[in-house]
Amino acid sequence: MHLHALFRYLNRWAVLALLGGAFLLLQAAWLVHAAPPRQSAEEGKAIFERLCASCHTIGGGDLAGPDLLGVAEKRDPEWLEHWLAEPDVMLAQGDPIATELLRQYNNIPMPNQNLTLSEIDALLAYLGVTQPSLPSPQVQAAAVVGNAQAGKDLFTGAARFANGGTACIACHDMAGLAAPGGGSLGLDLTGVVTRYGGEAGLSAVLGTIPFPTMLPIYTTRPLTPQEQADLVAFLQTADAAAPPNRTGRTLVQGILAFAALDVFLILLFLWHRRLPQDRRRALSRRAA
Amino acid sequence: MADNVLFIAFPYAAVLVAVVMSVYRYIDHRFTYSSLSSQLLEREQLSWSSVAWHYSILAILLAHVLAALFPGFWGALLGGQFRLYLMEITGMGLALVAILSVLAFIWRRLTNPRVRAVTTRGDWVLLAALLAQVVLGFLTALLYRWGAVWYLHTAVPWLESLVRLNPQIDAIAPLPWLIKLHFLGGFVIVALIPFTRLVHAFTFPLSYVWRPYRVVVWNRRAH
Repeated sequence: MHLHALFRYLNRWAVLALLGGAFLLLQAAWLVHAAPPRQSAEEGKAIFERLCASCHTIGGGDLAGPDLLGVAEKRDPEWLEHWLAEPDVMLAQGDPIATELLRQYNNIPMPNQNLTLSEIDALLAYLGVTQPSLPSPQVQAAAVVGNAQAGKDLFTGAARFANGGTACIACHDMAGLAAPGGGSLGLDLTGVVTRYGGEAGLSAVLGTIPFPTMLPIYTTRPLTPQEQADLVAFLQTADAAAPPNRTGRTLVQGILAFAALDVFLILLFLWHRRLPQDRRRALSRRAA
Repeated sequence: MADNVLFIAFPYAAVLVAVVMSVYRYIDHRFTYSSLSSQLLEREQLSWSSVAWHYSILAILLAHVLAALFPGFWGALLGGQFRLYLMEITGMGLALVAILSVLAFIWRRLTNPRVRAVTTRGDWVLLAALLAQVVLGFLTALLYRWGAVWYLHTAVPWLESLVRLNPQIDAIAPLPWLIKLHFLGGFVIVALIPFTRLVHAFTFPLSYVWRPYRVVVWNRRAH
């Protein structure tokens, strides 16, 4: 091949390849940069308070999850490490201890927090220090009196959260909401107060919201104690109700969507009958 | 890791390809910089499907873009159950219009011999991608409601982080695969722009706004 022909061929694709290569390098650099540094028991405490304290205490009694005082002696370290890394997988595989814990704690599964190995090390180091800690401040927040109507407004988005968090209705449904109801991306929240061990337990969860989907949203937009109390009061109103029929809700939504389609088709039909017919006739006469 | 490739590397690659190749096509194949319309070959079916398609998809696109650019405004707009339902149902109705129009496009290209003769492989790829994308969007809205709101705190922060060159995928990583496919489909279509007739999106006659008037004079009286 002539050198000059080769260059002409290269011009087009070499630029693309170069850009692509440079881009992949940037990616690699970013990944290395994003890797977390090694952590200690002190950092384990910070992780515990951020991710675990909404469902667990150390010596403060059970919340949605068990009291973790002495858990390092009670459980095999390897089991504990595996459990922290992938609780969802262990539950799916039917690990006997995990299954028993799930049954014991109202079928609330421990969420996978996507912890890195060093974060797990830090947590294990922290859990090994078996000094009782005070209950987390979120539990004390339950003392604030909630208003169910205010809670409903926050849930449906009629009132906005002070820190800009997403309204619950975006992803959650609940008994008592008019059809087609709340969102279906997340779980139905009917009866959630009982499931999370009463108002105190649920308030604690709303304090940190430790679920993987919600964590990125609410870490920077936490609910205020008053908002937590209002939401708990609202959720309490449907606690004993039967959960709404999920398929029925989706069906209502689908029917409404097809009704909207009909409206648009009628508009299209009207538009099509009016303008272009006349214009087309006039044009063809000119052409003739 | 797969998420990093699909939702960080791929979007950048798609936009890069779209920009570089669109400029290249403008410089090197300017004559093809159009919708390459087949209206002259068949106009009756096209007038139904094309009008329905463009109104519906542009309204849907506008909603996606407005929500991404002004999330606060969009959140306020959807505050309250009734307004949320109204917006979502309108969007889903428009999505159904869009689905029907793409199907009509495909039907027309398959059945009309004159149009079929000028149909390229790129056209089929584009139609398939558009159909997949609107179907995925409709299913996302139906099965994982209410996307109009959760979009603001999942996809929007991710898109914003991509624009700021500080990619963050935490907010979208835990979402169901169907929703992620819809995200991915958006960037597939972006990457298809310079290689297909979709490039006509860049030929919107903005200059009509400031160009001088043109007087149209007919030789015969119109009835």
